[in-house]
Amino acid sequence: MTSPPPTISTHPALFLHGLTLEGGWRVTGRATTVKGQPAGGHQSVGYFVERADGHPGFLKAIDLSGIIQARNVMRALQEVTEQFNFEVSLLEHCSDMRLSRVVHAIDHGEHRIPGALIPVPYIVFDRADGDVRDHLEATTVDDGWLLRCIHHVVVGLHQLHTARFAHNDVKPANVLVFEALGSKIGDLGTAVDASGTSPHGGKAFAGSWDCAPPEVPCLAEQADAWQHGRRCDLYMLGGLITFLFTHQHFNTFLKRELPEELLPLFWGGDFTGPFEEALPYLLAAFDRAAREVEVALRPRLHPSVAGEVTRSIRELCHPDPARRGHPRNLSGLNPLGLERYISLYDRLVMKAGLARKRGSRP
Amino acid sequence: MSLPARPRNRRVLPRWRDTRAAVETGEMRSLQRASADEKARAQQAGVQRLVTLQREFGAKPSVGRAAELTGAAALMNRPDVAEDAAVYLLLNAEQTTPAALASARTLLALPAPGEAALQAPQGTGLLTVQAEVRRLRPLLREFPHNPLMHLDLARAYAALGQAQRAERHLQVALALAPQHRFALRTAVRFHVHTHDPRAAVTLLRRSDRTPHDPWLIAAEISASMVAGVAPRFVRRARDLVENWDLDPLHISELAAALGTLELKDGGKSKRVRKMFRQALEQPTENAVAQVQWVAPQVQVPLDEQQLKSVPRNFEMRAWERYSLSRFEAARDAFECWLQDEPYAATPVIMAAYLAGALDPTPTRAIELTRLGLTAHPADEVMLNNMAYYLAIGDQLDDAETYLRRAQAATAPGNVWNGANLVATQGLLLFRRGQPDAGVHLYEAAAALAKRSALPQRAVIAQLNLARELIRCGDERAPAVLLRALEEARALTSPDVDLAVAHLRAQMQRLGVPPEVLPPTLFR
Ligand SMILES: Nc1ncnc2c1ncn2[C@@H]1O[C@H](COP(=O)(O)OP(=O)(O)OP(=O)(O)O)[C@@H](O)[C@H]1O
Ligand SMILES: [Mg+2]
Repeated sequence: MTSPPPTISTHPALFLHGLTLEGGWRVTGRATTVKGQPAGGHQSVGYFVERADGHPGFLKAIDLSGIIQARNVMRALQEVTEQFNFEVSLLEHCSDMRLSRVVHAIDHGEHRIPGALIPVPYIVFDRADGDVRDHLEATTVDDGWLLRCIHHVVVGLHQLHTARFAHNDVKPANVLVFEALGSKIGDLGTAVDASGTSPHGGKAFAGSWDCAPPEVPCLAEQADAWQHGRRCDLYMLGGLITFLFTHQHFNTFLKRELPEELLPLFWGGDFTGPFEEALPYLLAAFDRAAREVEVALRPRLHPSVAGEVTRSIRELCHPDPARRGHPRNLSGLNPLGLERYISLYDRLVMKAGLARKRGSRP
Repeated sequence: MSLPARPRNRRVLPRWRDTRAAVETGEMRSLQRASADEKARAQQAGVQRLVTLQREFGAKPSVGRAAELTGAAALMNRPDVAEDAAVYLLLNAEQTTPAALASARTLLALPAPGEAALQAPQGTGLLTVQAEVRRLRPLLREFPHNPLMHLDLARAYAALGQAQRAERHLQVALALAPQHRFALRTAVRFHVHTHDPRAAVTLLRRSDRTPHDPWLIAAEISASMVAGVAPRFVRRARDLVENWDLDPLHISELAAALGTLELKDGGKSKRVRKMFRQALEQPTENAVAQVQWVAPQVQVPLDEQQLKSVPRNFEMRAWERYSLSRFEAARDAFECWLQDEPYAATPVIMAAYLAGALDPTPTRAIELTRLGLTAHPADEVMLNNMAYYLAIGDQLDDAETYLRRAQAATAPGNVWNGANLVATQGLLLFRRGQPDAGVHLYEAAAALAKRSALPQRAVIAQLNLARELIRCGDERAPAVLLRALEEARALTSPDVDLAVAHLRAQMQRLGVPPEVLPPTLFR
């Protein structure tokens, strides 16, 4: 079955380039590919936009055209509406609370194109200079830059957690880089709140499964969505740190050390749990994987820094959700606290800088 | 030297393997099967994600995007979708990391998953086990919460005869993973090893998991049989075996254990056979070995084609090859089995026995027996064999010491070992330059064996006597040899075949021209 090619009247969200939207935003170019479900669900697409006063923005447009093909259209519509409204209100909340390391939304609305059947809901953000994946060329970034980036991400995550939200999708694509301001966390589309009432609060893990901790593909039951969300954030943070330095996610290292028999479905195997059965093997694989990560970090970082980075990865990526986090927090009231990592990475930025200076002395 | 009697009461006890080897057997597999629905959902989520990453990389290639796609493709076993990205990484090698490049290379070579071949047996000896302890101890200081490492260290300690240390690490492992099937089964094997099968039974009965897990029920039945108490979950076991609709691998050991139980209790042979047939549907090697063991009483055909895919099928193969007098091949299999269970008595005795008979020097036999004696310091068969190997290696004083220990360890009614002890004493006298006394003892040993209806042992004693006589150029040699070979011909037994083969090789090494030897030696 081939569906007719999308046109501006059937899929207006895909044809915003060159238009000026109701909010005064001029769309200057396409920023991202289209992602999401083309049929039976919704898609999103990013554009570069400019306000009348020249302020640059990034516009995320929602394409609702596929939704009428959903098996249950009303439910699908309700879902996308809830998600959109939640993201908007969460972004507003973040702006109100002045979360400096979470990307700011500056506008949102619905644009109607004359003759098109459906409106285009959109959100406009401060424009970043790409995400961190566009900044990883080894000869252009140094470890100081990467450590600073991590520091910013940890601060952003901490800000979110303090505002009682878990991000649920910490990954390279969602770390936005602002040349002047450093890095910020973007994409609150899959966040969950502490009360569990957010659109993604109850369902299966909404973020990217390939970056998720092993309990997600192992389909471990989760009693407490808020705690689970933060544990996922910690793991994904560790995975991100690993990726920034080694160009491989921690999961790639972990999978390599795990026996075939224990690979969950999503990781290309057919192990279906229970998670507890896999855990001892995950622990064993984890130790080996962490070693490999350390080996990979060594040539990249000053030895004194490499050791501490590895340790933090070990703590954040611990496969046992109950033992994830800073060891000094684990027995306390706030086992998933991130403050210690904020100061750690702040210190490591300096340490790396000093080590570089010392190293370059003739 | 002497063989262990083949175990009179083989039970389907859990194996205690290296944890890395244990996953191969399927023991770790989960009982739940993913529903088609779940599979489809996981696949769909994966495909969608990969498509996005592919598009993002295509729209704006960078090492970050290429590496992200390559990693995700490797994670989901879909190398095909990331070939461009992998190539991009290799072309921009200076911009990425060795780790990412290694992944890219692996991905482009499209390796077949699960190709892990069986490793050739590396020598297992005291040194290897000690090295394993040295490897694990510092690791455990670093990773004290890794239950598998504790299990492996416990196993190494058990092989070194340090039962207390072994138990301590076992306890830690159980505390860290109290409901873990493999940890529980390992503990069962340990308690049986230390002659405390009741502790094994108690442990299993206390675990909430046991009634729901066929692997654990199998262990409970077998451990109870060893302990001489009534197994608790027999009805449940029958029920499970009867109505099982998942992977038959999971009930293989349970069915074998039930079959063994019914056989012992004099159950109807039809039912017993049915159990074993079920055990073989998709068997573990332990079940296969059990079926082989019951074969004299219950015939259940083993399907050679199917056996090929049974992982770590060492015990069954070892005995099969041995019974066909394929000694070199049998030796490899016993060595493999020993590597699997370095604390167990039978494989170490057999591997050493074959080494003693096949090698020009007793070095390996001594090394292996030393390992065996570390775990089983009072094993009378090993002690006697050690004396034998040492005497062959002309370490006579040491041989004497072991022989005395063997005599002390052998129960008065144990004619099997009794006859061997007398023969070993004879060997020692030969090597001390007292051939007459030697002949006397060898003949006494043969007579004792014959009286006890052990004709093979008698013939082996005579063959060894012939060897010693030839070695010292004694004129009684030809007559003794001829008679021994005559009697050997009447027996079909791999033990005797092996002794003849040993003698043949020995003659060659001594430079005795074949024409002067009786032709029966070469048949
Ligand atoms: N403010 C911004 N400025 C510049 N680029 C941005 C901005 N926000 C997002 N992007 C780019 O667009 C991409 C997608 O954005 P975002 O994550 O918000 O959308 P999404 O549809 O939720 O994607 P996904 O579900 O894959 O995470 C980002 O990976 C980034 O490259
Ligand atoms: Mg995103």
